[in-house]
Amino acid sequence: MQRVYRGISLFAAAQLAISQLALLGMVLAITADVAMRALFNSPIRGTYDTVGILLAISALYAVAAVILERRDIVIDLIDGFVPPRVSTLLQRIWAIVAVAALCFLFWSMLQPMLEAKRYGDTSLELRLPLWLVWIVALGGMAGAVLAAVAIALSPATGSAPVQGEASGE
Amino acid sequence: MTNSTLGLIVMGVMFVLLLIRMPVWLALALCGLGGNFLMSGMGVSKMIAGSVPFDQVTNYNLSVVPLFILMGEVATSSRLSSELFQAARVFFSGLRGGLAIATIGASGAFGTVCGSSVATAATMTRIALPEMRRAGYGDGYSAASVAAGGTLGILIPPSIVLVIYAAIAEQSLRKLFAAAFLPGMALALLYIAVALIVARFSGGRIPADPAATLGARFKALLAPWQFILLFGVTIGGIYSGIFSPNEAAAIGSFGAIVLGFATRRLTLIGLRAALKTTALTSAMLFLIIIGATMLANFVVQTKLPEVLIATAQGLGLGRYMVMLLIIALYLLLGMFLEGIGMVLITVPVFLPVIVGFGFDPVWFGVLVVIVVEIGLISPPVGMNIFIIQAQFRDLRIGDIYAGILPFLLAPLVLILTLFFFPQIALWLPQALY
Amino acid sequence: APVAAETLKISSYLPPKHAFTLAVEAWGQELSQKTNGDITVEVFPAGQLGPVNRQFDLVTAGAADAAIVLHSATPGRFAMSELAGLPLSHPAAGDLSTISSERLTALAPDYLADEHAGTKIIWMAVTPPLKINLAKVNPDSLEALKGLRIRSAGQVFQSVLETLGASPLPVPPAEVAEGLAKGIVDGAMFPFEADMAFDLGPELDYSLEPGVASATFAFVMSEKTYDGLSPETRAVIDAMSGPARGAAFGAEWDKGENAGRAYLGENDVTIVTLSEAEQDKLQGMVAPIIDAQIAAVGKDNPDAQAFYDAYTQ
Ligand code: NA
Ligand code: NA
Repeated sequence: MQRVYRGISLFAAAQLAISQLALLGMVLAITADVAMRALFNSPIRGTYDTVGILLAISALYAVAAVILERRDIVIDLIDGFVPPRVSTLLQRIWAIVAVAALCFLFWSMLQPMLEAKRYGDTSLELRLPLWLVWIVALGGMAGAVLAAVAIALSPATGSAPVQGEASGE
Repeated sequence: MTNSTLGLIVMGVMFVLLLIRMPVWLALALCGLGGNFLMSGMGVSKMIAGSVPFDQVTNYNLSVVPLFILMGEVATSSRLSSELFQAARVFFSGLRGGLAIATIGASGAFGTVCGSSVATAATMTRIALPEMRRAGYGDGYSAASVAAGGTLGILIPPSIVLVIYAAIAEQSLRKLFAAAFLPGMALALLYIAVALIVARFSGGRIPADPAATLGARFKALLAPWQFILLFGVTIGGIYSGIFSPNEAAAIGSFGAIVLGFATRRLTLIGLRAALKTTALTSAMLFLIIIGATMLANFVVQTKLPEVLIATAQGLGLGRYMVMLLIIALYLLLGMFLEGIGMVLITVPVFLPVIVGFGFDPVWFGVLVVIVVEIGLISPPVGMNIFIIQAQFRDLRIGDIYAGILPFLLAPLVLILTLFFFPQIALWLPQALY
Repeated sequence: APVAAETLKISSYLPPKHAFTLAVEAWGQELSQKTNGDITVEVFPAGQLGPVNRQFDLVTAGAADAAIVLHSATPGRFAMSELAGLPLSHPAAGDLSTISSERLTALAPDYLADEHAGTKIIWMAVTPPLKINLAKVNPDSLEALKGLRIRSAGQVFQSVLETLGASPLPVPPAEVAEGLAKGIVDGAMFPFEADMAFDLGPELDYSLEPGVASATFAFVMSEKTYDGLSPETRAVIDAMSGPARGAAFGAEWDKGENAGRAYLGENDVTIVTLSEAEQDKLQGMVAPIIDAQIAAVGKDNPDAQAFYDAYTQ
């Protein structure tokens, strides 16, 4: 069990690194575009598409780490009124529900991905095949599913959040 | 069971789920998808589950969120923001709640140009909150100043919410922007008034520094020149039309990184940490945005606002009672729904009603933005509250809720004022156009 | 559930008062009348049910019973239909929306049904061609457009602008007025009607005729919904579909275009007509774009050229 958890942690850390790179890429792509437009009146073609794709990577590839580090927002008002055991139990239940929900999202995204491939959908500016972007997005969702599984199985669920595990700090 | 009854039940279920600590994104998503499933079946639920996450994370316009968060992170890592607040601390020394004024003012200025409350609150959380805590301000009060100040930018033009309202209501965007200007300024002053009053009656929990001389105050203002430069380039760039808010966010981040490295205040490790925090924070926000979109998609189909307003009209109420009812509905919906989703759901329904009662659609547009602002900071689902919580995990959400309550008075007072003096909104557009 | 199918959901990504939203609303009311209230219609405007690029999926997934589909919002998916929007391509009888919408609706069963699989096409619509509107520069020759930054959305418009030596910028429609005022863009591609809707009059000095290219739309109904209705209702819907409906809707758009033209006149916007010689030059410049596009679509769909010819006949 411990080894599964460590494996998923490493996977989430790798995805988070990709997410950080995508974020930096977004900064550079837009800055370069504005610079080219301001200095040479020739914007870089496809910036709009590029930013959309990098945003998808940056947002989705950090979800695994968000879940693993339990950074998702919870309204914890109840903790002041019920015994810690109840909070722990609720946390465990929602962790399992999250696995189911994320699996449903992942499964639901398969069909539009296949349709994008079948119908030849492309991005607006660069005319990139859109199903490739869907594959990238599914990669992020897969990481999220794995992270949710790790949390649902983790003996630590219910105790204090484990900070920095996904990022290997 | 009618769809609107189902809508009410699902909202009630969500309230309970949130209370028993289901993660917010999960509660929003499950209620949206579950509602759709009950109403229209599996196929529809699956279609929404499959398309909404992809459509949201590939939405170019939302890139403004992570980019401005990054700018705030880098500015904090390279201590630019602490310099700024040091200056504010000297400038407002001797005044209880002075840093809250600085926070609200800076949020207003930043949000004015950036136009997105999420991005503003995210940036200002990073910049202002640590400094307010360092100065000994209570957590709830500090967080509330950031959350409330963060909403100002969607009222003071330019404003994304007004752009969407203009498109739906087919009103002149220029008139709407002009109409929102004075109420926006008034709201900033009202928030400051609340901040000062709360500080005054805090029983010393919000301390004041010993008063500095006038000369020292103005000298202090020049110290954070790097921050002022960054802020000026970002804001000036948008206003002069050189770049859009998204571009300003990227350039602001790029500028902060370059400035940080040039002045040797930012290290590679610091940059990596800033990128990491930004990635995590924005991913968390995207989860909530995705869930909120799924919920809005369900609520709109329940025709809940329509049914409620039709019931009210059936009672033969007068125009002011109907308007009060609409505002009450907005406050209620605003507890669960967020900004753009709420505008999409309600404006097509309410607009013909209020026009029928002789209200000015431009005036109503201003009102809608104010209630959307309330929704952003009203418990339990308040995006600006979540943004702060996402960045400072040790803040208790209950403390933030408690801190927010007095600040909610400001927009309510503004709405009341707009009822009695609609000219506050309507004078400027009439004078200009 | 069969009972729920009596109320049809129509999705429009356009605002509540937009001509297209009003047209499908009127269509729904007529349907309700003609079925003696057996069918009622709920219109969800302003993209309440989903963004512009999801409208077709909404119908095939059953989330809406009918929807307005903008073909260019999902590049690649409606490649054939989009051929009708190619630059300077319209029926020989003229570029009025009445004519082009009727023609496209008439050709749809033979050429475009595959692209709209799972749906029944109620009517197709082609906008009046989008004009190049300019804040300051007088477009009396094509040369004058070189180096200008022009707001546009969509691949075809982009290609045309690039051929003319201008830079296309994807500015959201609602921000165009501000963009023109601040000089972020020098012009915008819009039909006259949109110039009026977005109140661009005060910012514009010139507009160029002829219009460059059009956007194409389909108003479609879910086949599943249609098949589940009674034979009488289906007959009513059949009678309310087809080329005549396309023409009637196109006429509304032409009316809007005329109103937009009058609006520009009131705002002292000069509408410049390109000289014959310059028009020929433009035709020559866009010909490669047209040929390339037809060839590209032709790879998957051998009818591409035949369809284009039938449309422009
Ligand atoms: Na603003
Ligand atoms: Na709220």
